[in-house]
Amino acid sequence: MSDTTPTVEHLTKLANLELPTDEQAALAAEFRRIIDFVDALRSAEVGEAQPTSQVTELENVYRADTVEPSVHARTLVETAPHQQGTYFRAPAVFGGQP
Amino acid sequence: MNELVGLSIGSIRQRLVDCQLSTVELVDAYLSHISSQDRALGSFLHVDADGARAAARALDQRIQSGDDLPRLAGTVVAVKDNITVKGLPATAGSRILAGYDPPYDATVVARLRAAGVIIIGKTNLDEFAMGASTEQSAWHPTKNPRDPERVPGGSSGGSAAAVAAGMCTVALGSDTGGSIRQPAAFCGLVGVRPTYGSVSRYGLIAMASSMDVIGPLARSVADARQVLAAIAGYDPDDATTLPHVNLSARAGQTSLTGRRVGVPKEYVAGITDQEVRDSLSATVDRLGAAGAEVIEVSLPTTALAVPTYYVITPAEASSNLARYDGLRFGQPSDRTHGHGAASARLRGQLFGREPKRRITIGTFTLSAGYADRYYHAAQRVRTLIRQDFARVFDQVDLLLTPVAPTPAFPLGSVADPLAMYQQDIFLAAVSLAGLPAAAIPVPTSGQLPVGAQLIGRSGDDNLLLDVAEGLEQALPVSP
Repeated sequence: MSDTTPTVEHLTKLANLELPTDEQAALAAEFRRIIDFVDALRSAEVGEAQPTSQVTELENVYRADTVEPSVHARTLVETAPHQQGTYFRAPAVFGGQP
Repeated sequence: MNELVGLSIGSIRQRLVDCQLSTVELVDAYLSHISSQDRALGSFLHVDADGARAAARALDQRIQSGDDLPRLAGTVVAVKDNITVKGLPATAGSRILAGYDPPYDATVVARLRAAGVIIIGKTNLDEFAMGASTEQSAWHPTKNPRDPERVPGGSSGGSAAAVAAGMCTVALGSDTGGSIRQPAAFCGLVGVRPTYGSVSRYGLIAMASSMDVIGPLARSVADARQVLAAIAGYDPDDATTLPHVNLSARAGQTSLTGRRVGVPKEYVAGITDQEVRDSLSATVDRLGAAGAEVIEVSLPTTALAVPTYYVITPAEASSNLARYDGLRFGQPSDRTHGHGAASARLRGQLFGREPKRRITIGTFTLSAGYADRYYHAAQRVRTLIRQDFARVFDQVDLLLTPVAPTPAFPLGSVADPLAMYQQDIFLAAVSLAGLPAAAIPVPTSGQLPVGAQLIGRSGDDNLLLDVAEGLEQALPVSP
């Protein structure tokens, strides 16, 4: 791991995780060790190998554009902590107060 | 122990058909066994006594009215808590999903119900299936029924302990990097990871979507196979299921004569435990004695599998776990500070240590400037790993390897995350390649169970299970 690696503080902000300071420090130490471990990949001679992102080799899975029975929106919304009609109720996204 | 709780799928159905047993009687035997055993073991997060009894009464009525019985009639199934069962909690072992009651059955659960099974409850797991000991559940650890001082393995440790202790007939687990195979080995069971895409993931709470699969933990290959045949097949609700899946409920040619089995030399070189080494060589000897041709093969990328897995899995997990922001399911966020701050606080408070580690690692390996060096490099190595397997499967029908580096370890003895990741050394490559594999118990000189892993070609699950059953017959393992 190089000196320019982003800090865990920055990464947890990107990941939307607010951690107490002591946990942040412990995670930083573990993070360094895990990244050093996966750095073993740099020794791999990949040559011209193309990346594999999935193994089924299925492409462009389509279905007919028809309405079929499904779980009703209201039923799904009811599993949310806060809802209003068939909408999820969220805190304010911009600004401080809801 | 009531002998009813040890019955196989086939013998349960036969007794029901012959009216020697009622489903209610059977379910009550399991519930009573759970009451007396599970306080000490902690296999279940939720036992659905009322639902199981109601389903049992309904099945008994069908039997009395002379209906044809479905293939899995009366089979009592425990379901890992990262798989949705309508109306039962689904926490995935995490506090962030406390209070979530999913409004739908996973496809595998719907198919099992249609095949006549009774769902008895939800089982413990490492949080979001991240772990190899079930100690990283947010709720409580599960203990190994074979030795309660030891872990049952993980992440499907609750399912493994429930089957091994006779608290259900079979259980569903999920396997991303070994989470069915390793707990099966630690608890002396059969555990099968089917070919990726042969079983629907609809209703499975996602960890690493390109590797997550659902499969059975059972006391015999025959039971595991019956469950797999019932749950496998194309599902319009999961676009990654394969269009043609042929998974037979019945064994084909189980004779081992003429089967070509490869033993990868890199896996043998990776064995450090004497019991595991002895068990593997005893298994090789029995395969040979039963007429199989066992040859040494080479998988040169073996050492790269765990580092590759621990780049790809956190990358996928960090994306999958982004959805837990307090809006749609589970615990609500504190709403006084706006959505961004509220969800960051909720996630910081309610995710456990391992999910936070993986989210952070995944965020890093996918970030601009680092994705080429980590995520894309790992994807290229994943291609080499698949090519390695394809090459050896030109020479052999199946591969034989150990499952875990050691038998079940004592609770609390593996505290370091990197040491826990090493539990996957014989398992991760199979996951990256999407191949089917089965863990089955093999003879050991020690007191604790040891498993062997058979690995098949992609889509060749039937052959894999035939050979596993042949090996099971050739290797009587004392319970």
